[in-house]
Amino acid sequence: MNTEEAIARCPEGREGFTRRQFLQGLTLFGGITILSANGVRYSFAASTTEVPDVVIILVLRGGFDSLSAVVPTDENLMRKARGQIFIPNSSLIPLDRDFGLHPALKRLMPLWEAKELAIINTVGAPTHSRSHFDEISDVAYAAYGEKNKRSGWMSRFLDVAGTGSVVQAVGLGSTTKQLLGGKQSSVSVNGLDNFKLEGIFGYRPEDISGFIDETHGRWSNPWADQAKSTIRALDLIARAGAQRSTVKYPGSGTGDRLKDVAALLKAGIGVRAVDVEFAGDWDMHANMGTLENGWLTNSLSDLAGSISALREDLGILWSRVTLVTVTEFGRRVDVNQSNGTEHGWGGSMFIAGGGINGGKIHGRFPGLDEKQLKDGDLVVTTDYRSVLSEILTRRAGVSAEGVEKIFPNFRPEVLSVLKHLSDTPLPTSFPKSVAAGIGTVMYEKMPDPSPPSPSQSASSTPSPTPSSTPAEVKKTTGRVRKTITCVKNEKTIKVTGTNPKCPRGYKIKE
Amino acid sequence: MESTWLAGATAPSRDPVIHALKRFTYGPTPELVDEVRRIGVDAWFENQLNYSSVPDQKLDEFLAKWKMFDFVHKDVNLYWKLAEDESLQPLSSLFSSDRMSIKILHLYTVISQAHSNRQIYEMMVEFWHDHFNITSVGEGLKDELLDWHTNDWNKNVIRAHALGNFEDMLNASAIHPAMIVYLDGELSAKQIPNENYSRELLELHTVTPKSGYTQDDVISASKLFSGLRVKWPTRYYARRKDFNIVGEKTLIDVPPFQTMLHVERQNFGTFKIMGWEGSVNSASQVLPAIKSLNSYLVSHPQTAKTIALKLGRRFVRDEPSDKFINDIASVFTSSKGDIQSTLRAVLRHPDFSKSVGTKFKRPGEDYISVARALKVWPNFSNLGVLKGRTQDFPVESRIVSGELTQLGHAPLSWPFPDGYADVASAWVNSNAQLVRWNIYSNFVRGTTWNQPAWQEIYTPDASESVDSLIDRISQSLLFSELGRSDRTAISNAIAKTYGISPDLQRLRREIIALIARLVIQLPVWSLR
Repeated sequence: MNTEEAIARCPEGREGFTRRQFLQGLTLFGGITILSANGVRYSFAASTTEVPDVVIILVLRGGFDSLSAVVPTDENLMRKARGQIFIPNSSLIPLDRDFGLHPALKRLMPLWEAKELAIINTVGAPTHSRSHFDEISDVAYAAYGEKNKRSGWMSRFLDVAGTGSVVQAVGLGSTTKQLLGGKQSSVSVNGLDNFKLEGIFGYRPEDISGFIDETHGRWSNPWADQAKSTIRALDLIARAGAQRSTVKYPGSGTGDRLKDVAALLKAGIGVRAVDVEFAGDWDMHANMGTLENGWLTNSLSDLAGSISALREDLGILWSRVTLVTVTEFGRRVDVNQSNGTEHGWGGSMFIAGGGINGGKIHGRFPGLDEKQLKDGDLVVTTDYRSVLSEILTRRAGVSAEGVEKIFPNFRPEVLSVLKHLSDTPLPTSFPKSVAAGIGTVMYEKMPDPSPPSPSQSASSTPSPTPSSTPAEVKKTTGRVRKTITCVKNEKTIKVTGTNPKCPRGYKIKE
Repeated sequence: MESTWLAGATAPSRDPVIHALKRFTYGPTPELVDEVRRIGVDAWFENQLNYSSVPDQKLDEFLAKWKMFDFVHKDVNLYWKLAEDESLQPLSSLFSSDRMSIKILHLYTVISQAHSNRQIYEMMVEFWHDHFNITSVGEGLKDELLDWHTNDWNKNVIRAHALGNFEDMLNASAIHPAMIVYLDGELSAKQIPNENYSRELLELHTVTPKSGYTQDDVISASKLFSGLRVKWPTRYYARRKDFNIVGEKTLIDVPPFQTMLHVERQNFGTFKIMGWEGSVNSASQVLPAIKSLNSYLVSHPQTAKTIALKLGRRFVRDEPSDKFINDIASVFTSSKGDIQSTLRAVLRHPDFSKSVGTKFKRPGEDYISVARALKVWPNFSNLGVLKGRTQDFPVESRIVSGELTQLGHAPLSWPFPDGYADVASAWVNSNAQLVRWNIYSNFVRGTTWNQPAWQEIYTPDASESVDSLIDRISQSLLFSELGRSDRTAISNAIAKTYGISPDLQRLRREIIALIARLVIQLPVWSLR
């Protein structure tokens, strides 16, 4: 929906829009700010032109057991909970007083030490169903409280802040349909080398693509229109396929995919978002293996080796990358009877890139004591959408209003895991062609929240369990916010904002 | 999907025979078109509805060559016996990593769609598989258990009622082990009943949220269903502790499927679900109550609209008109859920004849339509084989786990309860296009499917020109007149590849194959 439509459709829209624009423009920044139709903020003052980050989502499908990766150093509780799969502190790589890293993740340590890697506790979805089906799709759609979930959040991100390049969004692996599903056309790649048309007999690939372009050019419908994009993407993806790398990746599916990611970025073809699925299953109900080898250790080693190789391969381009791991849920705290773990809830999230407040563990660990768990699971203290929102606002050029469109019925918490784009100038050696491909955004540095007052901090310390409805606002950014309650079919959600509105289909409850 | 095209492009045929065949089959063939022209669309349609009397000799002969297809219609327990008799190694592969029983069913489904003469029946089988979607997606215990029951599901729920009565199918689905496992009935408890099935029963299978049901209705229904459990294969009993239901005391068979009632986990009393109320005071009253609830749901006007909408999407257009939905819903209601009467109303609805060229072929339909047009059968020399003591069992097929999986439309494989989407917008993306187009080349070359026997597709005429070849091949594949610009494009392609006057004696087969490849590539081919 563009602004004109928004105004036309909701009678109160014009007033709300103008008011917000006024507040933003005058009160905070002393300039005039215009919110464009697609939610990207353009401003005549107090903002800078920046090359945004490429956002890479690495999906760890199956339910990632963060307690085996970012391991609490409370040996008493951990030994009791983990039994056969307990990892003693003496085997861990120290991170801080409370946590150590699984030794198979050692290749992440150079990033940690360079402050290019951070860990966030304890992250998860607002829902706690323990169902793969529900959670992996819900995490991808990220539209809790919305009935129609046919578009993924990444697709909505590009609706809001895309470059329009045919390859602005690339998917590698099978989650593409969900993350990138929706009206925004994207390119899904199953290996760069496979993204090609095959010739037949003496009729060459370029002959076929010319034939498709010509014959589909006489038609107009979504299929024919996408076909023209696909044909245009062929050359761009081929340019990525021609990139050479001397970096040694793990010889794994994940390594191959991240190598493709590096090639896509190096080719400077305008990729803004990448959805890549870890090529392996984290659903370790049984036989996780030992510290030396086996399912878990091999998978962690693959994960660390692939990310570390990507970082090396990208070189200076890493300064404009944010990579984040996403999973459908964490795992149960207690080991089961088969040397595995059951589906749980919260877990740790890894975030890496050139604009990270790295080398530290952010967020709040909810505790392992039985009373601190929810049905045996780690409690989620940070909604994963807060992390994604911060990536999009601080690194990818999306405005706060844009984030509302991307994550409906949700107000993100400010985490300060990421640096402001304007605080990390583009390195002079950053290749101009790649920067040109990515394009620029107008970046307006929103002030960090003031330190919480004593009463606020009391309300956000150890925790009432987060509700299973969309997260409530925890911090304010200086503007006046109010919360309204919306109802639909007996279902109630709360929406908070300066000018909160109920999502489509919901009615405001007075 | 609405389309516009320029003069010179090939337009979809407006011939009512072609339109009906494109919508109600996986693709017209010249023979089928001749038959329907002879007897008329209505008579053909009636024959199709009376599907068991439609002879299917070619398909039966092909399937009979491969013993494993027998099992699709037999008790799935026979797979186990077969595995033991044949010492198939590893034994567990039947139910886990290689998932033989499910793969055979997938392959059977694809071959039947391509070559059964009972085309409306096969299409409705797919329709109901999507409506009552169940899928095993992996190798967990739940998926193995689901694999175990899926053949029976296909046979006794979907195929048994595909052209029968909707209420019968709903009743069968509600107590079938496959559905119970898929929507987590096994995890249900008396105090905390699992809501998965009861939610989908209302949301997807019948009344949909438009009916205004509440969370209380879902919980009430979940209590009514809380005692249903499934039988496990003997060898799996030892692992039942995984589902934490050791120690059950009273299990009562619930015929006709491998279903049981776990009396200790069943809720009793009076249940209110929307406008329905029923009392269950003993184990024997559970099944009658479920049937009574289903009967209420089927008679609910919103269920009729759900089915009308979906049939509209299947056969008419992505967004059927309100009038269409109301008209078809009223036939569904007055016929008490009779699927044949409802389908007749779809065919005869004015919106149907007005909808030429508005439906996009989903990837699987497109794939099957190519196989039908080229009259090709699976190339079993390309199948993976499980070695048995006395015979080999081709279990793995590049057709399903290769091409159809790459296309994202393998049969019975959508992981979520809502089934594969039936609107174009869900299917349009770059990777899917390239995969689709490259598979066209596989087809005309003959890789996963046999090489096309071109003389069966059209009658060769040794004296004809390239232009005449183009016209005749396109006519036999498209059933529309080739647009002037498209003809030029194909003609230029042949000239570019083989010169202005190619040696037709030597190159005829290859030129025919290239023409067919390019005809299938035209945008009009993507519509049904």
